[in-house]
Amino acid sequence: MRRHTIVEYNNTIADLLGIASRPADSFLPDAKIDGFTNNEGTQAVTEVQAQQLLGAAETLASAANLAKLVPCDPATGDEACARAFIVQLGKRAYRRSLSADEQNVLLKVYRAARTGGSFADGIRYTLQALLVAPQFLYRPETAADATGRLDGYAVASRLSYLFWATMPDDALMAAADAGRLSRPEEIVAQARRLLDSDRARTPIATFFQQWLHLDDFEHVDKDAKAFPQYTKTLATAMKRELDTFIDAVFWQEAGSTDALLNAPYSFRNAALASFYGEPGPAGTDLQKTPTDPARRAGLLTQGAWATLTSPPDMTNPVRRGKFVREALLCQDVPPPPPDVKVALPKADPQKPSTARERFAQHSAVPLCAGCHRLMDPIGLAFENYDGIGRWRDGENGKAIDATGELIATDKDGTFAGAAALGPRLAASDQVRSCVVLNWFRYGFGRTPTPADDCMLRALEQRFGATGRKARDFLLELVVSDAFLYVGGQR
Amino acid sequence: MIDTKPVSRRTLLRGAGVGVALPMLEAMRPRRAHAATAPRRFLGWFTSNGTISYAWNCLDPGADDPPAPVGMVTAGPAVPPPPKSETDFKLSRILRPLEAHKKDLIVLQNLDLSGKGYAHYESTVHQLVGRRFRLDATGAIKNNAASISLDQELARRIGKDTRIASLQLGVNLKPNDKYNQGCWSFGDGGQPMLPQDNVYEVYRSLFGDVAGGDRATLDRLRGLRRSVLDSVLENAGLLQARLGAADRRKLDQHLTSIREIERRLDAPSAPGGRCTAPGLPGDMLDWKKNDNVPVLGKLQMDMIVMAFACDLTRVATLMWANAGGGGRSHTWLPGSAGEWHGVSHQGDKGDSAGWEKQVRINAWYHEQVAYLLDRMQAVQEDGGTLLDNSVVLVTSEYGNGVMTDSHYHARIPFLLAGRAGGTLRTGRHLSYPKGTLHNGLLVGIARAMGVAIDTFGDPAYGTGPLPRLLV
Repeated sequence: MRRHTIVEYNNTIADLLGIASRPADSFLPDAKIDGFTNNEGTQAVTEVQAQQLLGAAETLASAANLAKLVPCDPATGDEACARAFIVQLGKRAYRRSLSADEQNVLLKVYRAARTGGSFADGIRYTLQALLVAPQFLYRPETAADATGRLDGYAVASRLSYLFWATMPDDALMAAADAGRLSRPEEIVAQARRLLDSDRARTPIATFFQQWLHLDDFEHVDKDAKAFPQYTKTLATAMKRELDTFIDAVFWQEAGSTDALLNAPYSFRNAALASFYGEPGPAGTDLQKTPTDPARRAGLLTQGAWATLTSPPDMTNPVRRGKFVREALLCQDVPPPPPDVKVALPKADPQKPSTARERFAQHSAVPLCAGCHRLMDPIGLAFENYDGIGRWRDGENGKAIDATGELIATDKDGTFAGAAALGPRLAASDQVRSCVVLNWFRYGFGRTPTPADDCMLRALEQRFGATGRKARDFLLELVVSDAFLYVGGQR
Repeated sequence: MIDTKPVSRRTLLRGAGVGVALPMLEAMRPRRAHAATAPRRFLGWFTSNGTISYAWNCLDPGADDPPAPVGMVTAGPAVPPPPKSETDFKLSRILRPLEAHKKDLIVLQNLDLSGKGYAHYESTVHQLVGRRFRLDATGAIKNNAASISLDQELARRIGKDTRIASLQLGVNLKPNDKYNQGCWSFGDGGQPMLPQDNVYEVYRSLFGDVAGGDRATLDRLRGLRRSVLDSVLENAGLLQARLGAADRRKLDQHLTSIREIERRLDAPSAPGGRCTAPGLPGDMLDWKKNDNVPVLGKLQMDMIVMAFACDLTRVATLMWANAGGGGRSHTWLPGSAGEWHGVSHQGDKGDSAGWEKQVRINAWYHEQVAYLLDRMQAVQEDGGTLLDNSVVLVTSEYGNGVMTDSHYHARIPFLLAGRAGGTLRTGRHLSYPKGTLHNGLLVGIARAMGVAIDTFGDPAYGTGPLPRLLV
């Protein structure tokens, strides 16, 4: 059972009450698990959070425009009107009809506030109670029948929060009311409608941001001595390039894994073209620009990624290799053992060296080699990109050897440079599984358990059948058992 | 101090607006009858990236210490001689901003966190928990032994009677990073209790409930709040029946929080005559901005001092930065240029300029400690001052840091301030045998706070309080 994240709470309040004040921005942040902020395992409400939810409910109830919310004139309203309010707004807030008992709980609050107060007082306290009700804050999965299949309202919520990060709209609720959300073709039609809307853009972008830790970009710090070219303007342009690229991959290439890792184009303006030293458009607007595929193709060859995965004054092949291992292959690399120095080997000005030479100790010392051979040989393939992603053929006057090697994968072998890594990863079944695993984490808001293995295998098949295209996969996902059954299983 | 405005009884009684917890309403009741003396308070203080022990402590480097970086000054005015006795010692350069409070301090030398080579988040978590923490395979803070942190244990034992069990405050944190490096307090079972670094939200929750009405209005308000809280419990009851076991547990935790809030509606918190709401800058201050750290830090310290003075809570932690610094640069501090974590590692290159920067940064944080202690001393209450009735633990996640050998785990800077109601004898420098683990310090603090325990955290790391700590 998931609770609204900060973003979902804000969006839901905006849709429910027409209040766009983003009240949850002042809540304690959502914890991150595997990069995602919506993991249900972290959502138990502490006392501080309960206080914040109550405080927000008070503020919202006093700010709400009652004339728009109650089905009568607030100046002359009576208990019948309050009941109608509870039934109508309650259904939107709980995303399903209220039981008689649930109506009575709210009516009791109305009566307590109405006694000695006005009708409006009664309604405002009722609204407070609605906004702190677990039925509003959580999204319980309720089964329609003994097989554990979700009822139409639960399906409506799942669809809506997956694609729009907010409560179901009128059309979804009408479909649930009419019992249509038990039919797979109707579910797919609704999913398609939601995905075709601009409202899906931000939630989809959020998936990529959190999966690939791209939001860490705002914390990037570069040494001005090592990289005087790295200005705020450049950083902003790079991040826009990355965001625009991902957006294009999802919406124009159906979220193709191959495009994400290999597309021979990017989005550049004059400043970026000059930074990369490649031909490009004039002006400040980003435009789709072909790249030299031997040097740049896909996400991992972009300046922003190279920058994000580097320390302030140099490159760190370990970090780049670790990223590929963890984010794209979903393999965990253990932290360094106790008692080892984890300081980076620094370049000695007296003895010019390449990163490959400086990091050689990792493979020479057996204690280190066990794990570093998983990371360093991948990261070293990126050495043609410096700490801010500029192309270079040499380092400290010595030629760079960008040979990489994959081990412990289904695509093992050596390869020449980062541009040759992309196709291998895109074709890897481990990467395929990893993409699916991350959609599972984001889409279902939880960490899979061994009991989910079967379901994951089935989802991987479906993802494979779409040609590893995430957008098409999402339309398959919504009619999978994983999506339609309580706990994901029949 | 940023513009303090006293909160009059009249202001407080103007009551009904935002905020839930009815703070000051009950505060107007007569001072608690059952306690003749002021309560004891605990504040935990965390800054990041370790220290320079040569400049923090009066120490005699031993054979097992990391070597001094090339070009580093290990003798001379910056490095005072070893203490002559427990009470005859000089403060070294980093601690010198606390000269006026020397009589209020206990400087602790040679305390280690068990083990070495932790990452920043691991040692940070270890500090108040007293156990090794590890990430699980999913990157979540899990651990071979998840457990509660000292502040939360204290809150559980002595936080029952106050309106708020404990405060977790922060200064410009990035609590949302991959490893929860912006978290220092952990509830039962190791549940992260993220600090609040939005000063406006802190203010609202502590002092915001001050818009108006008379006694009858306030009683009505409290009654209505109770009916809203009751509705949560009733709604949950209706929902529970339809949930599975795991979901029910999740909802139960929520309900525990709701019941706790409901119970505290009647908490007999009782401010003394010095209970005043701290001021906030008139213009909205960007609490997410690095450059605002000095003013944000002062505001958070003011909040804590007043929350203690008003007896809204007796337990607090203040996290000055993420473990590892969270990307902070001390842009306001001359001679400290660069990102803090990077600065602290500059010694790896044998860079004495990095050493000097780290000393200056550390000294700046101790200037902030001095501000806090001044403010606590200015609050008069039964049995002396607020500082006399409190114990403040000042620390960082590494010892002679990151300078010479990355992530060095011995000789952690631990400093106590305040007498905890007379249970601690201050004005002392206590040196322990090398390798003494810090768990005895956690036990000692608990004892000083009147909580009788023999071990805290992993019992394998020691039993009983640190010798000589308590009166």
